Amino acid sequence: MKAAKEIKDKHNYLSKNTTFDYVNMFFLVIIGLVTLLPVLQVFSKALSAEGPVVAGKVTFWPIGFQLDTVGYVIGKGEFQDAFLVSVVTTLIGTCCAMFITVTAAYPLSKPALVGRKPLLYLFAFCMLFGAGMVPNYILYRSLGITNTIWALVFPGIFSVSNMFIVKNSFEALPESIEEAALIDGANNITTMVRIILPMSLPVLATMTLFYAVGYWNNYMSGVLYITRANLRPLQQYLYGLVREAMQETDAAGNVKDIDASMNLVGESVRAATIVASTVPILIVYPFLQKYFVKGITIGSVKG
Amino acid sequence: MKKLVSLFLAIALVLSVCSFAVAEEKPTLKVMNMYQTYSFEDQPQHQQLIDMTGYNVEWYMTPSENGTQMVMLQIASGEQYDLLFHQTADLITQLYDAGLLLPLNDLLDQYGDNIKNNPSAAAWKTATAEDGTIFALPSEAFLPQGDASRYGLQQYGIMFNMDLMNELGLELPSTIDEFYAVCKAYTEATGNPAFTAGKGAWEIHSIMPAYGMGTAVWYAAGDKIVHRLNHPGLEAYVAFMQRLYAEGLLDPDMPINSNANAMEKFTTGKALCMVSAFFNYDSVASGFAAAGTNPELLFVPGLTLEEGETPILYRAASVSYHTAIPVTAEHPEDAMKWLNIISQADNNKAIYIGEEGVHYQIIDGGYWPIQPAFGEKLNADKFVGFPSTADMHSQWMARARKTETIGASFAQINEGAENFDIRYVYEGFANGIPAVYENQAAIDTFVGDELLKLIVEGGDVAAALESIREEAKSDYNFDEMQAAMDEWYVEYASIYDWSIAE
Repeated sequence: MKAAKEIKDKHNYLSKNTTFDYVNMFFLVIIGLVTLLPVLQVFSKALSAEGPVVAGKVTFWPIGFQLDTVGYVIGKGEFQDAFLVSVVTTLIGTCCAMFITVTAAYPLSKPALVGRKPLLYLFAFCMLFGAGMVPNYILYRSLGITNTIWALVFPGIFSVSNMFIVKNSFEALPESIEEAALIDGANNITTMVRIILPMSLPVLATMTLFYAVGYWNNYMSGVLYITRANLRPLQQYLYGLVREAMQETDAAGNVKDIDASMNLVGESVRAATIVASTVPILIVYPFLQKYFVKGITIGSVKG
Repeated sequence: MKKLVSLFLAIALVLSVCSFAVAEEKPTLKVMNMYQTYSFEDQPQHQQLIDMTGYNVEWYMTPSENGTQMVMLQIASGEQYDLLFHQTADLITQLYDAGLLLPLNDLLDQYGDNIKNNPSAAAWKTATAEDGTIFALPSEAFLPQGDASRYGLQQYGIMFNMDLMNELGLELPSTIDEFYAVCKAYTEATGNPAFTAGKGAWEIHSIMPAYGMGTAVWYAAGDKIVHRLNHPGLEAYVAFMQRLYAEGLLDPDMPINSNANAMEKFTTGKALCMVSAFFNYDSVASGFAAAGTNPELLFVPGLTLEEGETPILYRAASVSYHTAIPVTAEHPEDAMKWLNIISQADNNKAIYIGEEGVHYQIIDGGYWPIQPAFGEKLNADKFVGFPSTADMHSQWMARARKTETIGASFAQINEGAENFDIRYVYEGFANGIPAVYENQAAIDTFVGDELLKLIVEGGDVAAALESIREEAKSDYNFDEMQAAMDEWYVEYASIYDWSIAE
């Protein structure tokens, strides 16, 4: 009787929130909100009239609300090109990446695969060591894909760690279902497509999101492989715009390019460009966010 | 007879067809230009150049990060570009050392008539190897030479809020002491620091002239060339800045201010003056408008030590960019022909500022833009070849006078330009020397940080400067750099037509 009551109390202790919990939650929420403040400021600057922005009066709320700056930014040809390039790269890249990842993970999840151990070691090795910038450039050049969309798709098309997560989640699925499928006459591909994939939707959704965000945020491949203006990904365009504001001076402190500093893009235009680039991904995120937490842990604990 | 005639006609027909087929279309040139956020093909100048030269151009851009490394890699891997346009001296020198550039002497002689005589001898030197091979074409910063008017060279200065000045009955200062008095009057009246500036502003280029210094890093002193660390006026300048800071006349937040912070203080009336440039007039005015005021804003470009002295202004003559033809070019002669056409004086004017009466007009002998038509010339400066620099300086003023208010500010800051002591500095031509470009930036950062600390923290200036000099020698290869500059100065001493007092 006493033991049972002790267990009950313990149970109550775990489920009831103490004062510490409330105070803790309060502080964590405050800290979380504080991290939002810079984002709020950029959004406010983008939606404010030029005067208050220059005067530094815009803090966390737009002054002189207007959508003209954002409209101007979206209407710019360069922005539209860069946006389109990023969208196309993300779509093509995510599809290709998921195809490659899943088709690599499924056979590797079967213990019966010949050479499974060496292959796994090989993959793990590639995860740790990369070739570097110069060999990659020479490779892409000899393939003839520099200054094409493929130079933006190929880097990051296969993430070994993602593949391991998917493999682990395949291994966690009950074998009996696969055996039943085999008995019914399904071959490996049919089993994978019709049985395993539908059962793995959470991890697949998470990986899709990982790849999509990776492609959307990718900046280095644009810098390394693209020299045509209309093939720049969005992040590179954005970075160039923001960096332009930090004028380049030569050693004597003379502004190197007087014409460039005379024609600097204003702060509100920069803020509007940042807003126009971030909003799409912000819209997509909440819908897939619930899969995130589930998906990351799904490959870790078996059974 | 009939047979002969028909044979003759047949031959004539065949020949004419052949010559028609042989007359090739001009090839498309692949030109790599400097990195810009906009797309070159979208600019009106792109089509203008095609119409002008007959060559179609595919524009490429230098990578924005690790540009030198990436372009070296690309050319070494065989990437084909016909022209590397407006690139840094660093990249071009390295490409030449690696043997990846075509010598331009013959191409210039054959096709480069409009280009040959425009860059100055000093500029050509930066693009010529010791054996006389010309490996690049230099784009010079345009400065009026000889007797040409020096009008238009003043661009930066200290901007004063005239409403606040008039309230306190103050006049624009012209000497150091007047500046100090004006700031003190304001600070005593309002309690706010009078002078605000962005971080890293240990060098205020409008105060330094009073002590013989300016934007230059190297100062000609007769038969020696002296780094600003060793300039005789540095001690007095730092002491003056210390005084401003210690007495609260200089914004105490100056070391951490961003330009936006300084702007905010100035436009909300919490500061009397700020470092700015004439082309910022409109944006500063809009900041004031947002705060509900509309003061007159006037510039003081340079202060002097004593009443009646002429202010000194140092302007850097330099080569801003180098243009070269890589060995992988498929159409090197066409690239040179293309450059030659766009460098011709009238063509260059059409590219840079457009047509008279359409894009620009001439008022009182000066170039003024016609808005909004001039807007399409916004990015034209990146399409310019190698014209005469004297032309460029006067035409540039059409671009400088963007709006009426900016044009008026430009006129105000250049008032009395003819009386200024304008000194040209040629250290930009030393940028290609390894001992210089490897060390100068690091030394300047170090010196800048130390002097800023010295201004903010106060203390014995002479002793601190000595220790900074010691550290520059021991840790930053100062002596190596000085030796390289001494060697360089032997050749260039004759071009310097001024000298600081010893």
